[in-house]
Parts: sequence; C-alpha cells; structure tokens
Amino acid sequence: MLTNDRRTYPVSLSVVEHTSASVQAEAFSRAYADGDEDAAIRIVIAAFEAGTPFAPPFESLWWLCGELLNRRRYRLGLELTECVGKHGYRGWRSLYLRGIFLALTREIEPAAEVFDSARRIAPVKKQGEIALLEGRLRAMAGQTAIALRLFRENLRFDEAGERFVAAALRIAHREGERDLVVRWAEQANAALGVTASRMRLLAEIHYESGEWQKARDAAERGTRIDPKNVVLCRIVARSAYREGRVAPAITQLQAQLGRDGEWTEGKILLCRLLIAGRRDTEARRVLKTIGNATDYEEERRELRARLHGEDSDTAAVSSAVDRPKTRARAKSRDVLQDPEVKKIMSDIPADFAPRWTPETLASHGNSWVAIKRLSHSVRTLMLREMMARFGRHEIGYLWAILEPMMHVAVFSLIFYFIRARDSLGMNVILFVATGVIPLFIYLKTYNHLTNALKQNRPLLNHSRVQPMDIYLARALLELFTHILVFIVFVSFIYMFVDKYSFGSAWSVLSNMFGLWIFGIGAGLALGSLVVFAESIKNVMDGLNRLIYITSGVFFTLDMMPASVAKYLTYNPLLHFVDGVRGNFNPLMGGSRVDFSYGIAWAVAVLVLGLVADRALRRRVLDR
Amino acid sequence: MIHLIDVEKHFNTDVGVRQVLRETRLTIPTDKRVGVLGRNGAGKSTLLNMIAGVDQPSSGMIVREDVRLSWPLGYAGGFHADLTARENISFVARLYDVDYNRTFELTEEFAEIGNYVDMPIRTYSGGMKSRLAFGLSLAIKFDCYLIDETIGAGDRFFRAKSRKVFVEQSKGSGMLLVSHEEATIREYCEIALVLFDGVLVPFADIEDAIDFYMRRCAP
Repeated sequence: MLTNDRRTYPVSLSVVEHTSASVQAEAFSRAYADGDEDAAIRIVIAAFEAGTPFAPPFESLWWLCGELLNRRRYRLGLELTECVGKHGYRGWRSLYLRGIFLALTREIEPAAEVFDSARRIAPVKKQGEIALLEGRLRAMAGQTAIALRLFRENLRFDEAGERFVAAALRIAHREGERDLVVRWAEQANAALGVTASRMRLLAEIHYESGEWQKARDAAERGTRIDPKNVVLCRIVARSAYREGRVAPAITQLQAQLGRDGEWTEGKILLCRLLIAGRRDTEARRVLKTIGNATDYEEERRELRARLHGEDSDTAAVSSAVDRPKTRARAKSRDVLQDPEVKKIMSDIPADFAPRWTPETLASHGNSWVAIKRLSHSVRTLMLREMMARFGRHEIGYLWAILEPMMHVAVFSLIFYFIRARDSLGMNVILFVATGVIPLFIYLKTYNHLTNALKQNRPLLNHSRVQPMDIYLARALLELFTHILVFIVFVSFIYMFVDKYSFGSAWSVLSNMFGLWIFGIGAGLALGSLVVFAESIKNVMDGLNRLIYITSGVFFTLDMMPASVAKYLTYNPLLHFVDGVRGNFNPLMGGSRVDFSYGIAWAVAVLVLGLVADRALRRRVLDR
Repeated sequence: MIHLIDVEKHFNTDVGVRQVLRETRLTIPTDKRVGVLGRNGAGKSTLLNMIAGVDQPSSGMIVREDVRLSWPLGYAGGFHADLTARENISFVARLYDVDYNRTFELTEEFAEIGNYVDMPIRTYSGGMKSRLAFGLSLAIKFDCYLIDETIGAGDRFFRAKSRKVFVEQSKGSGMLLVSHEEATIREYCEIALVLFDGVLVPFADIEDAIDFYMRRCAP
C-alpha cells in the first residue's frame, strides 16, 4: 500500500524549476530527508493553500501518511489528505487514505462515504479490500443492509483478515441470515483454521435453532481450542441437557458447575436431571446451593415443591442427616467459610459426590459375608502366629509344653519335699498338672490379648484384617495349645505315673472354657484400660500373681479350714480350677465348688472386656 | 468405592486437641487414580491409615465397598520379624486368597534378596525389607492401591525398576496416592483431593487441585 523506503523516491529530481517553488521544494526535501514529517507536512499544506506551483511527489506524501499512521497522528494525516484532495489530486489512493484517517478519528459515516468513492475509482484488485473496509464501517454505523451486501459481494476467505470475517459473521448473524453465517463460518474455518469465537457463534446459532447435537459438537470443538471459555462450556452442558440423555448430561453439568459455581441456570438444569434420574438427595443438595434472589426464583420454587412435596418423609430423613453437618460447619467457621473452599464444597465434583445408598450400607453389614471373612482371616492369623512360635526359638513349639512342665516339676518337687504329698489325697504330679495347666489358659490368654492390638497394629493395614480377628486368633491359639498340652500331660501321667479314674471330658472342657473367656475378658479390658494409665497393667500383673496363689493350684477348697474357704470362694477362678481337678479324683470335687458362680463372673468380665474394647479401641490405636 | 460417611478425626494430645479431618462426606472412587495433596503434618497419612483400617475415625464411619484394597504400597511393617520372607509371603497370599507359588515367585524375582528368603525378617537390612515389601505389594493384583508418598524402594536403580513394574501392574486399577509433592500427583493421578486445614477439598481436575494447593496451602 505505502512504501516506507524514502530512498526509492529521490525528492530533488521531481522538484519543479521555479524560484519560490524551489525554496519550498528545498525546505520540503530537507525536512523529508531528515525524517521531520511535521515540518514536511506543514510545508506541503502551506504550499497547497498558497496555490504555488510546488508539487511534491505523491509517493513521498503517501509515505508521510504511512509514517503518520504508525505514529497515530491521525488528525494531521486527515488534514494532509483533505488538503491534497481539495487542491488537486483526486486519485483513489488519496481518498483511501482519507477514509482511513477519518475512520481512525471516529468519523465513521463520512469515512464510509469516502471509501465508497474510493472504491469506484480504484483498480479492480483493490476494490475488494476497500469494500470490506467500507463494510466494516457501514456495520459500525448501523447500516447493516449495505454492509451485508458489501460483504456478500467481496468476502474472500483466502485473503480476508480474521477481523473482516468476524465482522461479516456478526453482521450476518444480526441480520438473521443463519444459513449464511453457518456457511461463512465453515468456509472461514476451512481457510483460516478454527477459532473459539467462531465456534461459539456457530454453537449459539445451532442452539437457537434447536439443533442440540450440532450445537454441542460446535461448542466442544471450541472448547478444544479454549478449554477455559465459560460460554462454550456452558453451551456444551446446556446442549447435553437439551439432548435429553440424562446420565451424560449430569456428568457434563456437574463438571461445568465444578468450574463455574455461580451458574444458577446450570444448577436448575442439573436439579431437573437429578430428579429425572431419581437421585433426589443429590438434587436437594444442588438446590440448596442456589441462592435466594436470582433470576431463577420461579424455577427454584418449582423444584423445591417437587422435591419436598413428592416425598416428605425422605425429606425429613435427609434433613436429619444433614443436621450434624451444619453443626460441624458452625463449629469450624474459618476454613469452611472461606469463599473459595465454600464454593468448591457446595458443588462436589461427580467423582467425589457421596454415592452410598441404603443398599450399600446394608450389604456392608451382611453377617454371612462378615462371618466368612472373619473365619478366613482368623485361620490365616492363627497359622501365622503358630509359624512365628515355631520359628522364634530352636525348641519352637516345644516351649508351649516345656513351660508348664517346668512349673509342674518345680511345684511337684516342693510338695514332695515338704512331705505334703500324703495329705493331698492324689498323685502330686497329677495334682499340680491339673491345677497349673488350666490356670495357664487364663494367664496366657490374658497375657496375649492385652498387647494384641498394639503389637499387631501394622496388620490392620490389610483391609481384610480387623481387630476382632486378631483377638480371636490369639485367644483360640492359646485355648487349643493348652488343651493339647493338657491332653499330653494327663495322658503321660496316666500311662507312666498314676492310673487315675477320669470323670467327664465335658466338665473339664466347660471349666477350661470358663477360664478362657475370663482371660479374654480380662485381656481386652486391661488392654483397653491402659489408655487411662499405664500403671493399671502393673496392678493387674500383681493381681495375677495373687490369683496364681489363690486359685487352687496348690490346694483345693476342701483342704482349707471353713473360715478361710469362706473368703476363698469369692475367687471365681478357683471354682474352675477345682472343677477341672474334680474329674481326676472323685474326692477332689469339693462341695463348695460353684461352676455357675465362676461362669457368671467370666461372662461379666467378658462383657466388660468387650465394652471396654469397643469404647476405647480408637484411643488404643491412636496412641 | 470408599465412602467417608461423616468422618471426623482428631487426636487428643497433651498440648490440646489436634484436628486432622473435619466432618467429611465424600465417596472416593476406587476405579480412578486419586491423589491426596497436603502439606507435611496435614493428616494425609492418618487419612490413609483410616482408609486402610489402622486408625479409626473419631466419629462417622468408613465403608469400603466391594473392593480389593491393597495395604499401603511397599509397607514393610506388616511383616512378622520372626518369620522368614517365605512364611510372610505365604501368610499374605493366604490372606488375600491368591496362589502362593506364583506370588512367591513374582516377589522373589522382583525383590532380589537371593537365598535370604529363608532367613527371618529381623535379620534383613532396611533396603532388603522394603524391596521385599514392595515386591509383595506388586505380586498381588489389587483393584485399588493405597500409596503413601513414594512409589518404589531401595536405590535409584531399583526405584526406577519399581516404578516401571508398578505402572505396568496398576494398569486398569485405581489408586489412592497421598503426597505433598505435586509433581508426583500430576504424574500418576487423574483427580485429586487437597487436604487443607482439615477439609478435604475435591477437584475433578488435577491442575485445579495443584493450583489450589500452591495458592492456598502455602504458608
């Protein structure tokens, strides 16, 4: 259009031979050569006004105009081009430049008129460009019909700039020429590449004409270019809603609302879909996030009525469920009141939205499944524990027999040497063995359960292992081990030491069972109560030593004088130990033994242990 | 899916109550790769422990819905110190109802502990233990992997190998990755939660989560 290279047009050559003119021409040449446009222009204007025969070469004038455009001196440019037009030169280029300066000084309509004249005398290849400029100006001036005609006749997508295309699309859209807009937009996309704004226009047009799928496609193409474009994203979500495919539309809307929490219309739409999808609880949650005074008050009322009117009983349940939440919010004001957090929390993304149903929770509590899991886990844990005992010492599991054997040996020797053997009424070894091993069931079960949770805490990382499994595994292992040890002992004694007459196996087992559940109860209770004070354990250890002495390992109730036995009968464990021993010598049963008293205690202690464990388990794990 | 039903967690300490998680009502999908971003001490590990079952919520409950959930990836604390690697593996294989021989082979091949497999775990070095733990985590296929901070164990070469194997193995599985490192979250996760002052803030987009974390969790 304009050349910026002044050296191409040596001014001095075209200066006319005339004295006064040559002075001006010289001044002009100097100013021009120095690049002082202002001075040069003043000289030109003065020369034109004065009517002197000075005629600067036009190329240098065009160059000056270009320089003025660059420097945004539009008024001066306007003055120059008007002066040139008035005083002689009426070529298309002068008009064209004047049009540009007029347009830039916001004289829209005159500029359009000037362009119109310019277009008429311009060479053919320039006409298109000038027409498009005029079109844009006509559009700005509100002469849309003319503008549209100009664009229609002159728009060439391969050469027109992005701005002309945008203006043309806008005009066509304003004129209601939908088909034309769609055609142009598609041509422009093909020639210039896809842009977000063009896709937005297309999407809006499709949406307005009810072609939801096309609208969504267009909007999605747009979001691929500009993913943060709120309008496009909203169109995607809105068209998904209009298409009537509930599930995808819900996802779309939730995703959009996640980014765009202030979009009330979207919330209304989501609410409707959720109701349609029978997800009332979520719908209620969404509805709650809609403020009071919005443009959608009517829709909100209607949805409220639908949600709370249809099933008032579930509404009551849901408000009961929601109550603790509001309380917690009030308690912890600071973060939850933070506007950003609040906005996100008011509209949880679909991936994280609460999705449990009464069925989910019910199946979680299925007792058959729970029993299967429990038995599998207990079996596995018992095997592990057994393997560990085999591995720990070289003697391995033998220790389970050796330990009671040592106790039995020591006490038998003592009894033997203090010559109490005659007063016992039965074989010394049998007497001690039938006392020590049953009491071991209690002591060992107690011992292994107090530390069970603490020692096996890492195992809880396996989601299949629960605290109760660990207790049961340990307790069962102790019971089975000691029953086995007991059988080994009494059979050994029967074969090699003393041929005793045996009572009832059921009686033996039920007394052992009593000792066992007593041990479980005490172990659970103590293991839990230590959260209050570690010293409770020391107290209980002392108590256990006392129990060892007073629980009939060394005596039977009947051996004691009545005045002492009266107090000893309070010890529940004594009844079990005596009860076991009674089966190995009919004279040892004892009239004072009261199994039901012992078992009542054992059950009570078990209850205490279970309650303490349940109440304090979290605190044990927290420590 | 892991449902956090009104879960709240605090610790009573000698210096007062430490709130770890405020009352939360969320469902964590186990078929997606979920990240949990939070600063040191924000309570990420406690959250993971609660989900694994080691810690219990102060109120509310956590329901794990029909899902094979792993133990925290590479966690070695679950080994019985008196048992050999072989025995520990057999316990885990039995617990999760998987084929012992196959599990053992995969673990042994991965962990590179040689003939130590028949030695008790207490004789192992830290690196061997963690390699073994990681190998065992990978030998069993889970629906959802719990991960505390790091993927991998041992030296850099072994770690690189671990990551490669893990990415392969966890294809199609979900995961719950807890980390303070936004780069890790970005690399492995699809959606994320930010643990911000006891509130689990959910994000459907990783970049939004990281943006929030960088802006809001900064001191």
